[in-house]
Amino acid sequence: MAELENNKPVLLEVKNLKKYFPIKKGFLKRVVGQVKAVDDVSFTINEGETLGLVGESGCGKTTTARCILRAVYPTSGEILFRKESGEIVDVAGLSEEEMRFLRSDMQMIFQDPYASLNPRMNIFDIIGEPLFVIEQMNNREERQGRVEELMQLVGLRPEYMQRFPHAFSGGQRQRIVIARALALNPSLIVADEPVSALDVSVQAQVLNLMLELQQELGLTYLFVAHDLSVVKHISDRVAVMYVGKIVEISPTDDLYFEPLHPYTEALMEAVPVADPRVRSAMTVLEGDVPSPSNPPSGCYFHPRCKYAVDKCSQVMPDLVELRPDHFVRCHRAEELNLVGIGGMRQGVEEDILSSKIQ
Amino acid sequence: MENEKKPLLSIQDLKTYFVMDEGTSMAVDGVSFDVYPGQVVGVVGESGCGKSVTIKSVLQIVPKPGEIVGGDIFWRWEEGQENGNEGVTNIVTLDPHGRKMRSIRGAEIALIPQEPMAAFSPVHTIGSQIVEAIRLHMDVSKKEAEKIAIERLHEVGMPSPEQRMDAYSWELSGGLRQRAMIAMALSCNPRLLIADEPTTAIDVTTQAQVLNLLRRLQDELGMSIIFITHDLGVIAQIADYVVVMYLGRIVETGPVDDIFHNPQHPYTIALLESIPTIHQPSKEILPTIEGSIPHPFNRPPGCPFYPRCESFMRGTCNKFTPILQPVNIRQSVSCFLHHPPDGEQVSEISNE
Repeated sequence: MAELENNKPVLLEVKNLKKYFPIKKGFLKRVVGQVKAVDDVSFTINEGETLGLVGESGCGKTTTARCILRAVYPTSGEILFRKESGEIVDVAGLSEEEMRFLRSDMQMIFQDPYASLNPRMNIFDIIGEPLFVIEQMNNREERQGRVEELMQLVGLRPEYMQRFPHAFSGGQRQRIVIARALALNPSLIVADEPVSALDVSVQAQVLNLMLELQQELGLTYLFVAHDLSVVKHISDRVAVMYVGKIVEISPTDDLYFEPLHPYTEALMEAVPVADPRVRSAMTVLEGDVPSPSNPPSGCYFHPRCKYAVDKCSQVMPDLVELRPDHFVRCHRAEELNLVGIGGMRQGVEEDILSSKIQ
Repeated sequence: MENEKKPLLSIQDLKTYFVMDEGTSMAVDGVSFDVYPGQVVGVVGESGCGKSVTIKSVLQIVPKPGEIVGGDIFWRWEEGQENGNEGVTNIVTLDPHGRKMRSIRGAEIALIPQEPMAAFSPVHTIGSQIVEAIRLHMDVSKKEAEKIAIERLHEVGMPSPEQRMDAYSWELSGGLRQRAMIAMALSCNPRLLIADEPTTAIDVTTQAQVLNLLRRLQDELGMSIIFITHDLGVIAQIADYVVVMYLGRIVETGPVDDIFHNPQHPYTIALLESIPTIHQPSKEILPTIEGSIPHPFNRPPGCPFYPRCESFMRGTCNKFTPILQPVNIRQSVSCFLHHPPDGEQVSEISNE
């Protein structure tokens, strides 16, 4: 594991992570196939950094996140995590008992704050539970003090401690979920679509809170989302997944302004621009995401790719570092001149200009 | 062009309340807007703003205990279809289960619901469900109805439509399912299509496919569309005219270009600023709208937005309720910044 990269130590290194789900059929439940939900995924996250993980539904981004937290057992691969003591452990190989102690270092923020809070527990019990269970903080007053602190940290009024989740709005509930995740001073937070269930006017509040907390507490985030705008807003680096594989990973601005993979380009073109004057820009990626149980031959993206050549349908490309820190899985990445978000907009404005001149 | 035509659908001061033991929720409280032939009207708002209840009122499918307690919804028939009342029917006065309402619902005004998975029956084939819809509204044989269904599926870009007729909804991917839903909605040549968050549950690439499809169909068939969404990006891409709602009221209306480039209401301005867009620099603190949407039972007196508004004027905004009034020739806004309350303009004075 690399000690230093960009002057910051690596907190998490995922190496060749695989998660296959067996397909069983018939009376004898014989295994007839595999759903390769996560297929050979590798990446690192440095301390204090945010890695965004984007992709369409079914691409394996949530399964990757769940493997890291060991909510599901990975089929193979290594998940190297640096503990606070500096010791490096492989999460994939830990026993349940050892995992229990590691849970205080990695926590999760869930997607739906309406489903992830027990309606019968009040806020004090919800936020205080990890303190009681893991840190053995048996003194109620001590716990109360810490819960108060946490509530203030996430912008909730401590007076609401005795209330139940139903009394809170979606944004406030997500703050409670964040406070619960922070209770044990974790170093890594895995956030699985933390704002997609929230109202648009509240999304910005939660994103801002996550950015502020990161600065204040030096948190490291793995931010899983399907919304490219949200991911761009919060991430230092972004990984794009397609059918269980990472197709491109790079620093945020490089990925958005100079994408190297045709899928990344297509994803960005599909985002509706919030400006009625930029209308014609939206081009369409035809077809659907292939099933991870029966992916196409060669590059998984070739049936939908407008740049595909013969080689693409035969050989699966490797993830190569084409530019410093910018990895891409495409045979033609070097020769293609793909358009990022800067070009899209510029292109349209130029079109308008040229049509005016004419 | 639009000004010369008469509106196809005209909603006037619509009020739909839910009366419950805990209190009355004024889900839609005095909403008025028109839809002209061939126009795409985008209704934007966050959850609980009443956008869904508004269109459910238009179709007379408001779930109990909801009830339309006031206002009118005028539907203009095609020439020659209906002769009385100059070809205009007030939907509010119709019996929701009556023959006339049923002849409007589905045939004249069609709905694309939010969740295509939940909207199709899983135990009937796509084909049989579309055929059923066609035969309910048109006097055709089963064979002919099947032919129309295949034609519609072909129109919405369904690959090999003849085979898909025998497919069940759960066999289709999200994008195809939504296409099948659109084909079903279009099966009786509706003059108004209502799309209730049709792209919320699907991925961006599929969303782009569906938006392009709706744009193309609107172009080819010339129907009107009411497009409901909370996504301003989608609105910018598809709507001609925008209605912004907050807590059961319209806060601003105007052509799409003015709403995005010259918003007038503090809520519209704040909403446009607070949404992260792909073109913003990353890792920057976003401007936010403080607080959250009030619970419908604890609706603030006066302007519903005042507790979160930056331009809040004490003694005005929390006392009087603003009404929607024009600010220029294109836009209308309900805000005291633009129309200070005087005796005539105040619609009601709160007792609190």
